[in-house]
Amino acid sequence: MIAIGSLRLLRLSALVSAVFVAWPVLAQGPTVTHPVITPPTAIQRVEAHYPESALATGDHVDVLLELTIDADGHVTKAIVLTSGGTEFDNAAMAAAKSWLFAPAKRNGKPAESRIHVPFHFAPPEIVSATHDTHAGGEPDVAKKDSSQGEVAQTTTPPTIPIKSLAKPQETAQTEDDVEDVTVFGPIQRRTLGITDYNEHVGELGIIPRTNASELLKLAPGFLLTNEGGSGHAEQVFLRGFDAHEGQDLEFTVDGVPINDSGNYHGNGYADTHFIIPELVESVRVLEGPYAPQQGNFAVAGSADYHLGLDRRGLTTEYTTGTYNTQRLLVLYGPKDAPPGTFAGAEYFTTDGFGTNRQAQRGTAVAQYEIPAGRKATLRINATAYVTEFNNAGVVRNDDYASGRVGFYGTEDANQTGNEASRVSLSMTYERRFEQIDFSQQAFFIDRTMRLRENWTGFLLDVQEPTQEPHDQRGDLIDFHFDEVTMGARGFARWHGSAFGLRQEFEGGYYARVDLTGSQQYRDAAGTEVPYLTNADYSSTLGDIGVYVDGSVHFTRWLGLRGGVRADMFTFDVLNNCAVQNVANPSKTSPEIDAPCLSELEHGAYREPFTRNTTASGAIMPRGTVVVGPFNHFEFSGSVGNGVRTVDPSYVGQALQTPFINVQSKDIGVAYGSGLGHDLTLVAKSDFFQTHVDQDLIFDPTQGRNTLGGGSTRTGWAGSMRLVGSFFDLAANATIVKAVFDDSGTCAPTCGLLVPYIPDLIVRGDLVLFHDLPWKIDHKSVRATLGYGVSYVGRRPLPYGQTSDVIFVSDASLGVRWWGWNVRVAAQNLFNAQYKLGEYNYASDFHSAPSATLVPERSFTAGAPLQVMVSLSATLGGT
Amino acid sequence: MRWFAVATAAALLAACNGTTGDNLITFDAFASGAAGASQPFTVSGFNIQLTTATMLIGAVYIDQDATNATGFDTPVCIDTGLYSAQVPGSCCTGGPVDLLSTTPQAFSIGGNGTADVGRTWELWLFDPASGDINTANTAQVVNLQGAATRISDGAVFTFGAIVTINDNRLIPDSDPSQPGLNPICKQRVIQIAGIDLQLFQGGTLSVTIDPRVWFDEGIDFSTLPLVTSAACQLDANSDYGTAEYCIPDSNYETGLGALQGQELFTGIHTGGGAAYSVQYAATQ
Repeated sequence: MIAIGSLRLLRLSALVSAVFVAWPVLAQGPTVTHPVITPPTAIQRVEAHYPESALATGDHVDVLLELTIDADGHVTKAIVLTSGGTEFDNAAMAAAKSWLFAPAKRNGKPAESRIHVPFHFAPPEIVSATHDTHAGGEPDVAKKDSSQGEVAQTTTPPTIPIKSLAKPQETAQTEDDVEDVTVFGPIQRRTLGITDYNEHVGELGIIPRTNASELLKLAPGFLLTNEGGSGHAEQVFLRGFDAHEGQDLEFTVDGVPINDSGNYHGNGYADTHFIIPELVESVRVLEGPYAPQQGNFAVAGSADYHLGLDRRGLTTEYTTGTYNTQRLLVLYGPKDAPPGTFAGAEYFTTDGFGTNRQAQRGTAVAQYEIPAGRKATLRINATAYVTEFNNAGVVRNDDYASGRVGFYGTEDANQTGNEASRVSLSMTYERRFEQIDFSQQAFFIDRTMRLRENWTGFLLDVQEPTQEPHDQRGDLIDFHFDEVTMGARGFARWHGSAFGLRQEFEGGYYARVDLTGSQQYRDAAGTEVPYLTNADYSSTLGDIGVYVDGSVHFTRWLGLRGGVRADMFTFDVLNNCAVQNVANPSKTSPEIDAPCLSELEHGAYREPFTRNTTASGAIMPRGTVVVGPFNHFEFSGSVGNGVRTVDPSYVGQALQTPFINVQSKDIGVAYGSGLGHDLTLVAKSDFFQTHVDQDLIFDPTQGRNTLGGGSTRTGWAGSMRLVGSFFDLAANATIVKAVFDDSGTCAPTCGLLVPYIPDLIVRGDLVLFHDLPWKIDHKSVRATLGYGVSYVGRRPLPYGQTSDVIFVSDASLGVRWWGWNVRVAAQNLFNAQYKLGEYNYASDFHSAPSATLVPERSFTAGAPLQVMVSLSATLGGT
Repeated sequence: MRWFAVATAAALLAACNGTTGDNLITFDAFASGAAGASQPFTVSGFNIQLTTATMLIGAVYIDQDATNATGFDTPVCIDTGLYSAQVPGSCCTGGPVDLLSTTPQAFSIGGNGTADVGRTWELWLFDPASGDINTANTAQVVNLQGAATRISDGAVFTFGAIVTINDNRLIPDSDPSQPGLNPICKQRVIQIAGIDLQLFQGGTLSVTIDPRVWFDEGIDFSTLPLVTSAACQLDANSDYGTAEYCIPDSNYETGLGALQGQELFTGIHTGGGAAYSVQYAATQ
């Protein structure tokens, strides 16, 4: 009689840990936009055998294993957490490694996970024999598997049955079946209510997007324009803010900052082109400055790109299209590694549409996400990016109307040689303790950029008395910026229980030092030799932020989230060209034609540079009240303060407040629910108002943004996302009015409008996906059809004018079979001719016989129809 | 939060209304001579009858700022941000302005600007086809012919005058620390103060020039050189018609009649509101 080791799973208490899901089972509001986690479920189990050598002891032994389950449901790793002795450990691991699971899922996609599984070894019991009438043998002793309550009968010779479930089946895992589920991924912040848009790209990724910035359109209210060429940062409009090239939006990629500090062209300039769009798993947009974690530049809000590669294996994609556009993309995600482990490389080149729009770029990124002990993750990311591009710049309306310049032409073909580069290295360590989640990140970034833009033609090189007589030599701006950034951020978040509800409290910090250099010259037309220095700054900038953030739930339907942030900013600015004119120059040793003078009045000598240092701090309270959910509705109201630092040119000695202040408030409602039949719906409606004490206004004569007066934006934003088994529909709209504060007593409901801010933005994206009714080699063929549309209402322009409306559609059609994917994408499907940016200001491109010195309409052209065909193959993945 | 909700609702209702202020305008532009310029006039002891009087206007600019009324501050000639309206083309479509005719003569292109108030205005005397306001420009900006009768004895002096603005008019550098203080554009731009011109869309700009004022500096016609003399051959294309004498085309000529060239140019350059007037009115 052979005793059969038995396996009995202990009754397991369940708690899906909060490692990955920021707002999981407690359902503090509509969660559909946040990662939805389902734990793995065992569909095929194998019993562990009670070691024969231990039968004599007859002990009950417990072994606790930690199993790592890959996205296929196989157990790839088993670790003994609680040992019952080598024999029992080995028996448990031998059995566990044969188990088969339905894998854990994150937003419906299989994901790697870790679970704890206890084994209880009970020695087999001997029961009385029963008679068996089957032929040919003496009845055997029936053995009882005490764990399963079954009676197993065997004939001689005895065999040891390997039991499994009668059939593989998904057993619905409940909270009672899973002790602890750990799904790999970074610690996420809890939702901040209706202004929090954590948009998983998902199927919407098929909508053609030329760069990562366009993924921002998944959140409401974004308008992107670009007047500087494909390597130039997009100009971002959000919630009534002309966030310029990122100056009013805090951009990060997995917490690593993107905004430049000390960039004379635009302090806060954010070039996101180093991000490969296919590596963006989700984008979290927080509209408004309501989270204590948001720092400098979070005036209109913040956007954090979360990188990850769901498509595992080796993927290569080649794209070709109009205007001699070609792109080669290689992505690699090891099959048994989490989505956060990947490598990617991209090469892109295009002749561009029209004139002066050639561009090329290369990007390489590698990220490694590895367990670092129990419940800890280490993520290392290295990125390198370079681009070189030409810039068409603006076209004067009268030149276009007269036929002198084409709609897609250029006023100055010398806007060439633009470039940008970025190299970064970051390490993030996250660990989950019993009640504390801990994160620590360090980053290093090296950035350079060169821009050559001509906004004004031959207008600004006026004759100065201290110059030799000259003609207008041209206004081609030649700007160069370099920056080395070092920093770190971290937090510790405690979570516990009070009032029977989960409570959280977080303390964190942010530290950043930037060593920057900004030089701006003007190059002479024809020779392209610099003839004038506009600016030359060398700066050391510091930012230390400290915050506390709490999430308190008084009842299941009433919560308060918020805290306070304090930032200290330091500026050490060396102006290398501090003196550019004197009223009474030296008569004996004049500095003729010198842009950076070494003299005071009447020739008294001084050094040409000036150093200014200052520092100041801001304390910014922020909070959100969340009421609900009530029948899937959640209401929230937020208030918060934010800051944006000024660029070094504004820093004077001991300037008290080298930043602008922002006050913002939001109120709205969100709805989120599963509608049955695999349908989920999330919808939001939000009213907002934001005030800044000094706005940034674009000055074409300087080619950059300059400080203006205070302004207020008041508006409404709405969004919805409906996801089904074969479609994904997202739509959003924003209405806003932005007025200057000094425009009358009726402000902010009336008054002079802030120029360039669109009053209405509507965006819709629809993707249909389904398996086709035939198969190839027994494998499904999946078709995907995507369509996106953007509408931008008339924008107020200076001098009482308004722009044209913009209405553009994009579409994509793809077919996927096994690891192969073919896609055709069209941007501006109906080839609409539209003006992406419109301006009214004075410029002189020799459009008229004499100098043109008064404002005239100018514009940047939107891209015409572009068709791209892509072919990709994925090998060795899922 | 009630006020916030009310303000928000009101702002949204008014979202489609509002302005950034000001407005862009376009307008027609004409130039003509003053009434009576074709009639005899008396100045400095001479009765003068003009038979030919033309002026080449390269451009007209209306300025918002009144502070430059008496001259140029730094920078010289062009001060960006100063201008509210412009006619950046020459007058007139068929050639220079006939200053003996009161018939409005159209500029070669229309004008444009912003709906602001003009406080000063500028006449640019050069040929735009030659390039920048500071480049060498041999265009004849003024062409005069006529007869001056000395009142004392009835002597008649038929005269012609060709005015170009190049090195012949350039103010010498007097300050080595400011070599760019007096570029040639300074001599080509006539700035006139004392206007109060409300600009609006669809109006008509009318420039009136009275050449008679140019002689108020006191031309002594009796000292003028003969047209056959070297002083009258400074310009290769000089054409004085049937005149016997010329007013030299230079501020720095020596000899007989040397001062008269400078006197005439001074009269042209400083004629002010008496010689040059501008009006802006609704188009009839």
